[in-house]
Amino acid sequence: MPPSPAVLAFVLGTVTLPLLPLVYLVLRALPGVQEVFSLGGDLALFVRTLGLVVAVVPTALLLALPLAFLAALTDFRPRSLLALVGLLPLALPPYVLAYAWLAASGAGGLFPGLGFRLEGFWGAWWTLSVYTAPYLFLALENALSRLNPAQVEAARTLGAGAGKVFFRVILPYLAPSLWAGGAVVALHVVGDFGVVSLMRYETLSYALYYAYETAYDRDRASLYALGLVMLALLVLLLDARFRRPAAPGELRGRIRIALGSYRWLAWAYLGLFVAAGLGLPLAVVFLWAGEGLGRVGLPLGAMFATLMAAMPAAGLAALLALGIGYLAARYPRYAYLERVAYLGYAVPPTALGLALVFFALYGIPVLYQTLALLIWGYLVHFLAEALGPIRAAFGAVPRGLEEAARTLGKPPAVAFVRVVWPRVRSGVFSGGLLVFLGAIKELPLTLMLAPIGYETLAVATWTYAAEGFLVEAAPFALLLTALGTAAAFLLYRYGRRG
Amino acid sequence: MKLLELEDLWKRRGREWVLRGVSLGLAPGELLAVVGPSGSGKTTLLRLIAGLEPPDRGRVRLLGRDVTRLPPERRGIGFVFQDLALFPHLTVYENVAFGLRKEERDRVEYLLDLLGLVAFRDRYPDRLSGGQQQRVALARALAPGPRVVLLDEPFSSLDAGLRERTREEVARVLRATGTAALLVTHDQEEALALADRLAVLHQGRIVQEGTPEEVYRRPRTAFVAQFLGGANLVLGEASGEEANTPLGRVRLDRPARGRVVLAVRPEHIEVADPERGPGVPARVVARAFKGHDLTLVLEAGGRRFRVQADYRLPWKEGDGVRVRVREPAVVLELEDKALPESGYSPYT
Repeated sequence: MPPSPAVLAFVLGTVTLPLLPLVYLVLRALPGVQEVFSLGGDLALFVRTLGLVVAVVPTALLLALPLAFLAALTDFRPRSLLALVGLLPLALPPYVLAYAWLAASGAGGLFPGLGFRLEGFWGAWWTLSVYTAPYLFLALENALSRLNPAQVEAARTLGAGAGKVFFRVILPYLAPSLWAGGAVVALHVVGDFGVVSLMRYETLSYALYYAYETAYDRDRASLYALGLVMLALLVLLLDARFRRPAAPGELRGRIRIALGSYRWLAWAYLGLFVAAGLGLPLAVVFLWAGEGLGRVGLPLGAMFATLMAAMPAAGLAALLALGIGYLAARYPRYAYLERVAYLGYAVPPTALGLALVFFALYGIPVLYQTLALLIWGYLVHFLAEALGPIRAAFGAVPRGLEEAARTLGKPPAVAFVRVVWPRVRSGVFSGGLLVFLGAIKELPLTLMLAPIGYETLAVATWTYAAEGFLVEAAPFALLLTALGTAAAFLLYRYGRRG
Repeated sequence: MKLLELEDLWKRRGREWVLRGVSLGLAPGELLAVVGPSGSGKTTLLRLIAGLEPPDRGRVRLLGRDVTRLPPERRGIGFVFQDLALFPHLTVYENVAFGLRKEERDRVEYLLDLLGLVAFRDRYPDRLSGGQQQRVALARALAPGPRVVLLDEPFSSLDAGLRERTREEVARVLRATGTAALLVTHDQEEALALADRLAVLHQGRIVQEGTPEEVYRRPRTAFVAQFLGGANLVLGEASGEEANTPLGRVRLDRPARGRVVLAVRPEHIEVADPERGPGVPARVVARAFKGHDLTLVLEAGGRRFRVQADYRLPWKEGDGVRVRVREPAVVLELEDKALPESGYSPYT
């Protein structure tokens, strides 16, 4: 059956959304490409970016592994405290974390007793590791809790001791999740702008932004953007090359190692981790929020601006993801739509921002400097986040349900509304919330695409912090964190019910 | 000397005792089947033997040595898990080689060959059929050369035709490698066909032990009679060699007096013409054609009985017939004071 015109239009729109701007970026950058080889100094940017990736991924893994082990394989209580760890990066933007560590350490900092100032490479390394560890935690925890205890037992009946069990059974079992989680972390690091700019560690993203925003050197910016896209593709290629499909989870009874007298060690570790990732930033923000409020007033305007951009993006992304999820679940030939969505997620936001700028300037000039362009950017970047829960929801609605409704005399639309929608509703809601959470925190896209003078909470927090007005940044950071926490809490509650 | 000895094993789960004093022995090269309905404690028993869990009481001896406190990796007991638990990230070859040292790799080739897996050596488990996976699991368990292998419902995931073939295959390989095996299953047919010896586990206790023929022919209790082969339980009044029952006068396998519970196999009841035939009158309540034979449910003396009969018999539901028990009935021991409900088995 040939697809209906409506489906065709939808598919065309979904594919155009991320690809068209990227085409403009490539067209703009290609003429200058041979100059890459003459930009000797810029090669160092590549190395610095890669170096940060190579440092952060294993650190985040080391931070996450004990937590995942506690959550999935031991009798640690309360479990909800560990679930909280998984929500950390949702509630707290990475640049607020960076801001807090900057504010806390060093001579003029809140806690001068720390004795050193966390900045530069080490600052970026530490902040990004703490920030991204929960992503690995989630991936590992999910895999470990599906580990079939019989696999471990089979290995033991074959004479394997603890070491062999870990290296030959558990680690290979985790490999797919490690690759997937590692790829997510690597993409974060490559795409990060907020942390490296505050910590003043120059990476490609950082250089792109300043080439574009302060030096007005669009040739150079477009080359950096191309470099970023290539780095992201490299991560994806590595991931695709080495990742074997995850073994199907077999939930037959769980492993529950009794912690016994090691319980206090688990608590100490969890305490330190939460203090570094959540306690410290909250303390800094709260300590300075009062004084900051006196100087800048209640930032309601920025709050309003944040919502005006994030809410339409969340709604549109949920709708779009619903369409993609439906088509991909029902017709395998549309599976590539999901990959298109992931491409938008993988392209580092500074590069995507630049691509959209070029697209607006040379393609549709009326879009330039409008809220619509910003929402477009959010949509492309966060669509994949909405797709996650929606995909899972469709996975739980077998095609037969819809077909049963059809044989009972319901037309397709009615079958969808009566049978499919009730079962995917919560997934669509969760997907929208995830996009909302991402969009309120998003920094480089907002900086590059928002109309002049359009100041969201994220932009204000970063602008003040980057110029050293740490006290003035606090009220914005506080409101942003509160908004994020509320949304993350909703997601948590909703996810549990769904 | 016994290869494996279980002495009075007790195991509790929460408040419930799953095993209540199980004692069993296994001789070298022997194949012992432990049968019982689901929930009777079969899997728990195997886990205690393998060392995956400790018993609350009792001992496990291997070649006379007490191994009760030894971790599984130091027991040298093979285990074929019910869901097989093949390592999904390893190939067939790597799975089989898992328990071996590098210099023992020859053994992989031997086992792949023995189980007809040579062609699949480089495949991952998810690319194998159910029967092939089954064989890989057995090869993996046998590779380190255990003296005993434990099999937990090893054929339950296979469909009927494949099950029979795989069963013969397993028996052949166990004999070829001289490995003793303890198999647990809820499938009585499987146990009868495969085992040298049979033990019936019921509510955490071994209720009877013996060769398959012995246990099948002379069940001790009503549970065993019904679980193995679905015997009819018949209440009767015994007077020495014979008893009066709803199925008429029946010979007994041993002398008894007073009220008795008898086991009568469905294939030991003869159905005949209502006019000319011998025996007592009965009525056909249900009829199920099974191809090679015919199962009738009959009512006689107000009780219902199951009969395995020749498929050519013409009688239909509602017809009157005459029945007679042609073999001696088995006098059962009473498990508790209450008399069991007479009639046909709830287990088959």
